Amino acid sequence: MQAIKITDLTYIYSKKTPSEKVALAGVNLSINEGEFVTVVGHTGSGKSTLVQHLNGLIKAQTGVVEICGIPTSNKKNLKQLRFDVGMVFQYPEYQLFEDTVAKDVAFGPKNMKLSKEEIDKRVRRAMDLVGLPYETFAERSPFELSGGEKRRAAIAGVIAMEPKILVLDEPFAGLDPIGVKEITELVLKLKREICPTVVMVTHNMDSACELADRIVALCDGKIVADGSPKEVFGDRNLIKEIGLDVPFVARVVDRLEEEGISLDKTILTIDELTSALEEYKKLKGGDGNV
Amino acid sequence: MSYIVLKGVNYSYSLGEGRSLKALKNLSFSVEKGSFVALVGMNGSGKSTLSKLLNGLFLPTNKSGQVIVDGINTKEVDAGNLKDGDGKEITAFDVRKKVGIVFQNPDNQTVATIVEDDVAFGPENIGLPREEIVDRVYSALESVGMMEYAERPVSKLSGGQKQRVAIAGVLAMRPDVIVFDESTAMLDPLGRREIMSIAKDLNDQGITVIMVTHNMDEAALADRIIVLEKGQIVLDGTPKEVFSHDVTVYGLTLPPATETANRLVEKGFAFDTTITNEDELVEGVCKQLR
Repeated sequence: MQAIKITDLTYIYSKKTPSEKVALAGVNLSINEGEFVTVVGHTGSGKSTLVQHLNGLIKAQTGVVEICGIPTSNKKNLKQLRFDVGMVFQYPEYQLFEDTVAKDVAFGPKNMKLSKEEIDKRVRRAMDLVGLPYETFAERSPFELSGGEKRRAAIAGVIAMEPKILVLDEPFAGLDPIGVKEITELVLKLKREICPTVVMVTHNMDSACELADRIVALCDGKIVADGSPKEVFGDRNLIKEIGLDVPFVARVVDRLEEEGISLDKTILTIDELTSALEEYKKLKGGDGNV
Repeated sequence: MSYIVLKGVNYSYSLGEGRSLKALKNLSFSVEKGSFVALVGMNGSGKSTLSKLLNGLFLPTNKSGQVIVDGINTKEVDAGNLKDGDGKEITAFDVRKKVGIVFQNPDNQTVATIVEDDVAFGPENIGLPREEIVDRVYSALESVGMMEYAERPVSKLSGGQKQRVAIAGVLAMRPDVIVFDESTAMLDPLGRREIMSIAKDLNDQGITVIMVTHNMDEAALADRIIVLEKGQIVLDGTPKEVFSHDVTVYGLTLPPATETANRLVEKGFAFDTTITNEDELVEGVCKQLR
């Protein structure tokens, strides 16, 4: 089933003014239920504008955005749409506002007019899932939490609505290496247990390659690449042309090639790289004792 | 020559109700003039607290703790005990002129609407003559490559450009030291590279750089890395010295080049030295495969 279907979507900021800017120019994109899609592109390529269409935060000017078969232009469904598409914005911890973590996480489900028991159940589940056990954190002030904990509390607030689609805009920004690892694991867990479809925007190409089944690259408001990480990053010319960062491992592969050591261009992880180099060394006859 | 000296510095945050949080514990170290020091550690290790002590924004909370900047004890400045050669009181301004800080969020550091006005804010506040202000503003904008944006509104700039303006604002005060407090954390890869290259240039011109960062690739560019954990220094040395340790126990990651080299060693490769960057990795691998 198609979770997201975008047809001929164009969006222009400050239309008919001197500062008019085309953010999206004829985007077509279908995402199936169960997919993990990462949207990449340099600053100003239209990534954030695109994902803000997914829960109707931005209305389509031209074109159609359908979520689970229902067009987002259908005003009657706007509330349901916001529940179905969980949006985790950049620095979501800035949006914490209640005096306890439990109340903050309950804000979404309360707006869904659920029963008290159901709200309570969802808050507990969401907090446990993000690694902030209810018993310990429920009554704590969100403002006393550490940076990583705050971000997880904010994500719990979105998860408590049990959305069908999870959209994350730069979820790793500003985190320390441990924080990046925790959020990476959390996103994968949420995909398994709550929202089968995940769309993530990131500048971190290493995370993009590690997490996603599919990468969609935007440049000047158009989709310029769409495929597996290996397909997309295997095409180095395209990556450079659209101003994306070549992931570290791919850069090393390219540098080695310049030095006459040819490896497979689709190598993207340190594991693959070290195995390929081990193999190469064996073929060359080990440590030179041919 | 040591430009900044810390002696037995404690810093505690008051949490109210008699509770407090010890962010720094008995910290002593000095920073040589003209050096490039990276300050790393996981969230909550005390990095940002430390950077605020370096220009007298914070003062040690213990009696015996001292921060001495270019011979000036920040505590005595606060107490109004110090006079310069002409008998004029040395103020917090004098310390902040010596040590400028560029913070994390590009949107929180500008005060004026137009780029050149923003950069002029500091020099205007210390009552410099107009010609001197104009001279400083333009040479600062030149240094960060933002001259052509002098008359543009700050709000229309990208995050990386805003950070460059923030650096220019600090430079216009002609500081001896610039502290970059996670100044690249909110930027895209291109913006990060721009800021790092400016930091390197400024250091080449003799400015002491202290770079607080979570990015180990950035830290590897420094002459010296100080690793903080729970408010104490756990490692202090060159990148090669620091990354020859297992820094993951302090919640850090290794630079990807170091990680790759370590894995290759497990697979029978050998390197003469600790690998800390891509160039060393490529060179080291080539040597063994040719």
